[in-house]
Amino acid sequence: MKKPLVKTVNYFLLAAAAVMVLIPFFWMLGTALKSEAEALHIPPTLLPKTYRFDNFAKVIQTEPLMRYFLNTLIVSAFVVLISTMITVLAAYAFARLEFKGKDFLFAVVLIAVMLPQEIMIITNFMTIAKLKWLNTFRALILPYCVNAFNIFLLRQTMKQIPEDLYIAARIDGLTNFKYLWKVVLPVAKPTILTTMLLSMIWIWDTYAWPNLVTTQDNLRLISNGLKNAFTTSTGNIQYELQMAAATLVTIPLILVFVLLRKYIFSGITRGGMKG
Amino acid sequence: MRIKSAVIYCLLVFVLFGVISAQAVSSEIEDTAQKVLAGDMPVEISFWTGTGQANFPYLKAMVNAFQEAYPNISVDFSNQGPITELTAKLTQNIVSGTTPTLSNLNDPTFPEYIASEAIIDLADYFNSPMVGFSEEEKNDFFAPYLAEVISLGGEGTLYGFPTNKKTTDIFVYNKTFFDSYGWEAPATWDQVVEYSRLIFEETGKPGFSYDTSYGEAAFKTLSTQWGSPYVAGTGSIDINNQASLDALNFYRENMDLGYFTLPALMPSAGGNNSSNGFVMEECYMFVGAAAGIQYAVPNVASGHKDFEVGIAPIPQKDLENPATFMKGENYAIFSNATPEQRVAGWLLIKYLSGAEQNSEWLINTGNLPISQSMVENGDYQAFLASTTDSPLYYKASAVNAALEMMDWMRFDVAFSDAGQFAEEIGNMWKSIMIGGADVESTLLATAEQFE
Amino acid sequence: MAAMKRDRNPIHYDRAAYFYLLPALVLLAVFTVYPVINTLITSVKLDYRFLTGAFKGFSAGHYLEILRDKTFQRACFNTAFVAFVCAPASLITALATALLLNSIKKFRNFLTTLYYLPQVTNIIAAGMVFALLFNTNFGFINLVLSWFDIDPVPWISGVGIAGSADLYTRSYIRCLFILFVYSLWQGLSLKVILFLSGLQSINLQYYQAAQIDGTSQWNILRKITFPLLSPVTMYVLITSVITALKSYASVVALFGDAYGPIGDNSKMMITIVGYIIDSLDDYLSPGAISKASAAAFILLLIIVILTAVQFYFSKKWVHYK
Repeated sequence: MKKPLVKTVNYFLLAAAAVMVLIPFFWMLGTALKSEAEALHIPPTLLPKTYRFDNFAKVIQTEPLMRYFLNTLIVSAFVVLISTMITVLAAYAFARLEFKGKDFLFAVVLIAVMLPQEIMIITNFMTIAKLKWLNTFRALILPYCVNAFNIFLLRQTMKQIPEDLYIAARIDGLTNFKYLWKVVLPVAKPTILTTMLLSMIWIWDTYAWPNLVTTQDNLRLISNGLKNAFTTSTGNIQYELQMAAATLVTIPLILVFVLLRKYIFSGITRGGMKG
Repeated sequence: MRIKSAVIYCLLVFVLFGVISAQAVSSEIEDTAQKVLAGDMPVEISFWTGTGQANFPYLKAMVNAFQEAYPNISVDFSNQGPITELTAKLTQNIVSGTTPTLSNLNDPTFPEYIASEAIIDLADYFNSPMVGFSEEEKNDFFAPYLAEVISLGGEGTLYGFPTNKKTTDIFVYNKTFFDSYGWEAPATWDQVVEYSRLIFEETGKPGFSYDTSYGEAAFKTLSTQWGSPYVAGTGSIDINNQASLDALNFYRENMDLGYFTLPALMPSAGGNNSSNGFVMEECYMFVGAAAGIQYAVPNVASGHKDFEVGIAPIPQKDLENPATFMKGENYAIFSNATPEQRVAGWLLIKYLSGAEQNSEWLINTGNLPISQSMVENGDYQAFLASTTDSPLYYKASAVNAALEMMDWMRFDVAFSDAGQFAEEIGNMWKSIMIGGADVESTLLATAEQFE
Repeated sequence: MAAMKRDRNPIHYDRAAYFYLLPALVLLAVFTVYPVINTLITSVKLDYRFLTGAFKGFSAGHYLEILRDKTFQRACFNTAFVAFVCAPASLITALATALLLNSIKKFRNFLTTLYYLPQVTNIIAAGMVFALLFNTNFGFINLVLSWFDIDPVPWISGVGIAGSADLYTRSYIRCLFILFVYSLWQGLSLKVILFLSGLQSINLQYYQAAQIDGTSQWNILRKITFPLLSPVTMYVLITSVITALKSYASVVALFGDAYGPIGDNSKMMITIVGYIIDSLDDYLSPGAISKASAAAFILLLIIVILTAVQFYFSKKWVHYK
């Protein structure tokens, strides 16, 4: 008797939450399609009167956004590739192997998870500068190749693989590497995909570091292009262009996410279970 | 005491030229210059600037033209974003020894760079018979600009050289509205207050607004006009005085009466620029950057109000003793550069200071000419004479107003805390005018911070 | 059995482990451990000049200066607000959302995907959008209010706040509210998924048994769901508190480089990381970098202590199988 009502209320609440989540996206896209005059109209209009897709073209033309996109893509591809290998190896060692100093080293990883990147930025700049790596892709890629959180996340997943499986594999004469390759990787695939997405988000959001180690326009990443774009030299914000740029920057990650959604959800959950 | 410092500096500049010229010019520079100018020695230099995306192509075109004129010199030219970011990167790169050959710098950066020997003295290049400027060319530059760069390192030095990125604040008013009442552009603050009162009574809206994009600009200009030293010639801060207090109270009282406002308080403006509010007739006069004049011209198609814009010099407290401040960066060459790079960098600076090559840049960006011959250039004269039907009319009027004020120009005295000081002054101004903080105690607190 | 197996040839295992760890450890040492040590050393240098590297001896003065600084106290309060108000609130909202999602079948995947979107949105873009949403004149929030005949609210406004404690408080509360909404929006995504999967992994037999006993819905939640969900809750709590303690980009995107509305001279919305960055911005003044380093180290200590405390308490109430 009560069931249908409860269900309706549930759906209503969930829909309300969905609307809340979507409002910023709605306003972003709406403003991106307005004309300059409409974006500055008081009171604002809910939907654009005319849809100005020109704004996107304008954004692409006035800012080297495409170049930034390409750079971000190159950097994230390398970071994802290298950091995944490094993460898998390290996580496996922490999850399965016994060695001296394990607790200490794992504590180092845990502390690294907690550190704000901002603390490290000055020293790291000096390191990169001493290596004469300024204005290289290496400087953009290497510091991101180790991600303590990803190591932690993947270790949690690997720990859940029953130990008996490992013992059996060792008895069968499987080497550690073969065991990792044949048994652990397939099981941990969703979590690995998740760490890949997290690395990608990291690169996509990163701002301070690339801004510091690159001085050439053709090496900049997407956040750098976005931050100062479309504010005129005297500080007036061109809202419609700013929002068009924000939209363009947001779409690629959403696409990647939607495509990999299934894996990512199960990956996040596996890593997150068990403390 | 601080009367007509511009005139004094003019004299100073002439005296200094004598001193500089009398020095034995390093023959090493001449030798290196000869090699570089011969044209068969490849030199690679890097040049950083910080400029808006819209203006960048014009600068790029000038650098390209330079490379055509000197085929053996190749320039790696890049835009580092806003000046604060440019400075941050320069500083980092000084520490790591990876600076560019030359860059734009803003004044507060110079003292620490000079103290750590990160940048070089350009006096010998300036005076060099081979690559320097002739006496005639030297006198062609507007005196306040050279006085400023000489002041950076003291007499006999030249640690910077004026860029073509100079600008200043100007006074903008709603000409249509003014004409309907038969008013002229106000020359004094008393007139501004009088007009603002009438506007307020007539429309219920404030008359005047002062841009806050350079937070310290309003306080600096007003208190100087009221007779405060602000920052004395040696770099010592002097703001805790009656003149500063009077200037603050002047603006605050008019704010409280509803006659004056600030950008953040106008519905359509917000932020730090008055122009978006001005085009909606939320105020009828404002002081703002000459470089931003195009945003103060209403565009009826975008829903702005329909009126004509007038541009004039900044109102004064005392017309006998006028003061306004110039803004803009100077070039510096870094110590890391090899002798050849230094010469090549200097040649680029010299090229970028030429009258012919600058007209395109000046006309399109609205930056101010730094020499008489830049003003007299044919294309530029045509630009200055633009009439209302020309799209360049407002830019030209802004420049004309700025040129009228050339004799009133003061420059910011460089000292090592100058950046932080400017920021704190900006915070103080907003806190008093918008936040409603007590004038006297806030001024005192700010002054004490820098004792 | 397993322990015996391991004990038989531990040395062999060791070598392999170091080989596996080597790349990660090298990078961590260079880009994380060394900078932290360097930060600690810099923090006690007196009058450290960035350009020349010169300094005048060692002193703990910067730590004392920071702890006495009003702005730092404000930064601690704001950071605490994000960590202990916003983070738990978004945790509760996420839990509620997950419970609702768990009770439905249709659209579940669709809605979960939708809730995750903020996570994959560029932080700077999201901040820009929120600043525009709450814009007094062009914002969506005031537009909605206007439909109900409510006058525009000056969400981020500093008018009169330096002269009136009352106005200051009101302006501060509005800014905290905006930060709260943003945190909720941003934080919901990951937590919903974690809670949902936690709920789905609970053995249905528990519920069936409870239903046979006629236990009320609330008691089922209290006695079965929450205890079985506690490891996930613990994980979510710790990670979100750590993230909150590091918050910075969101505050700058929402309130600007001055950390507050125009007219405010107190850096109203500054966070601890904001305080560090602010000190760094002043790098040309002697001592500024040391001050930033000291503040960074204080933050590190706070994070480590809080995490330890959470782990300690977690032993008491987290229910492990």
